Amino acid sequence: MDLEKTQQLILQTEAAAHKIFVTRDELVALDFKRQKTREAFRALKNDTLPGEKAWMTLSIGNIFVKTRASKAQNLLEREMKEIDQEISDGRNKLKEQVKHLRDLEGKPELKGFDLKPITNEAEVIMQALFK
Amino acid sequence: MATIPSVKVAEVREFSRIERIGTHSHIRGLGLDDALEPREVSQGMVGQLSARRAAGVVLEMIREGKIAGRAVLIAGQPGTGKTAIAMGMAQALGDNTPFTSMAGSEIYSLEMSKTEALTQAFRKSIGVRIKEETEIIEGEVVEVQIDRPATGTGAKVGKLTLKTTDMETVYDLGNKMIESLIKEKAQAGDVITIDKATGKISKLGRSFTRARDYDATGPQTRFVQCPEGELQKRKEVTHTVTLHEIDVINSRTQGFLALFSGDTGEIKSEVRDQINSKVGEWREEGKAEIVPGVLFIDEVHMLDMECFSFLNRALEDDMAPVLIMATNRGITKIRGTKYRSPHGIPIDLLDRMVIIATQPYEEKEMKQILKIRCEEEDAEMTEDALLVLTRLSLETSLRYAIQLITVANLIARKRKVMEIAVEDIKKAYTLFLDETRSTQYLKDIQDEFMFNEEDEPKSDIAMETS
Repeated sequence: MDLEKTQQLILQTEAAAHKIFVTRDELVALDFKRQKTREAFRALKNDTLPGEKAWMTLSIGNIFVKTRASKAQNLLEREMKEIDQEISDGRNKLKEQVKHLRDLEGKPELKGFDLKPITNEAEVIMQALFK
Repeated sequence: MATIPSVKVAEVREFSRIERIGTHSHIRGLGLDDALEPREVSQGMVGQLSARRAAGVVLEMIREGKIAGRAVLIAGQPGTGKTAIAMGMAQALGDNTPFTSMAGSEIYSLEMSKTEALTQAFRKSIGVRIKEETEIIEGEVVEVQIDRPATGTGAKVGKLTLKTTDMETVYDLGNKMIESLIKEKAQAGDVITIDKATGKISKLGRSFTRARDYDATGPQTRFVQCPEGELQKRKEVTHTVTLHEIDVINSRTQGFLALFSGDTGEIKSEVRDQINSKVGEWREEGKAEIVPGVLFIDEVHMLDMECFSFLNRALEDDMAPVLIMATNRGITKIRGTKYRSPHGIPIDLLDRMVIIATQPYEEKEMKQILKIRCEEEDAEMTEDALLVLTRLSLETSLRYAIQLITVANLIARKRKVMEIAVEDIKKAYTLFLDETRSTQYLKDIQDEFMFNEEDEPKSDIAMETS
């Protein structure tokens, strides 16, 4: 009975840890996507003439489509926003998972872990204090 | 064979932190095990088992943030380790919980009213945990391309290629970024971070993989690993600041510089109210956590009636720290009144406190303490000498015996011996009087001293004329 319980706990812990790895890999992949989208956006902005057409892939697969550069730019811009959102969601998810794992491991909660940052006026205080 | 003249390279200076040896510098904690059971000798603490256990329980509650606005009184005879226990608590709490230590007489100042000094002490003991968050780009520089315009003036444009172990990307650079890259002398192979909000570039070091690029490198070159994972990271830092620090920064008259000069003056209560409501707001929004800390007031019997009633009131505040006080007085007059009360503290305040009592040390414990102090002062002592010193400390006082260690150590050095022997202690004992001998001496020859008041019936007359 006790053995079974222990086994169950270990399994849960391992699974939670594995989930963290998955999320972290996802975040890296997302950041990769973000950088590439940004590069593409910059390239379109700098290297094409207005009205020129450009090749681009669709995000669903390996289909190349020739569209107007300005339209491609808009699409990329929208995608960048989506990726940013996804990354911040992923980071929040990661936090939850780390919290869950520490809970399973019986470790105390990280202090100040799920605080939100303060902007502007507090930043001035911080800078004054820690310079 | 030509002799090579020895060239003296600029000396590498080593700064070692010099710490003075204080009365309680040997204390590193309360000396408790995980079950809060006190160990006989641990972390510089000796004996006082029940008092240490009690302190440990209080400490555990403070750590969990369960108690605030409580008061603890450590009471005991002089030299029984009251301050030592408080110091041990401070050490065990660590850096993240504010611990303020003050002596009862510190509140009497000409520049500040008593209540202001106490309020400041209270607010120094309440921490606010705040998080700071920055987006940074961290990676190893692969390539820097800078196009200079043909005319020589005008905006430069450029490209910066950064990589981590997982990805590589190209950034277009504007004029400002190029300038700061040049200023930081970033080149291929350096690991740099760029603060996204401000665009500040800082160099972390050179990548290990590029370690063989040059045959000669300066001693200040640091080698670091190529960063892992994503290029654009979020960095989070949590700070614990005290309410008092926030007060000082926001009190208009001086600004934050007052924090360093230490001269804060009086802080208006409106400023405090504003900060309280702001911090309360942050707490509601999940932006800040309140960390109730510990305020330790040594020699608390030095406070007077007004201070005690202030403490009574202040402890009821919802942001009050844990108040630890120490006193060595028995039933005595409360300062500023003619009423007598236990420990010189009014009964109503005493009623709010839990009291930890310290017992006088036994011979065995005294010996252990003296031994620890010897180690702390880098003095070696023979077993016989230690025995003699222990006996001395029983007859006189522990503090006197501890002071003799330093003196005896110097005397032993003078004899060019490394170990303190019995004769050194004897010499030290004859050189310096302890309290009882000094009193005896005064009683014997008091007639020869000036302003002898012994035969006069009242001392008031002498006071007035002098």
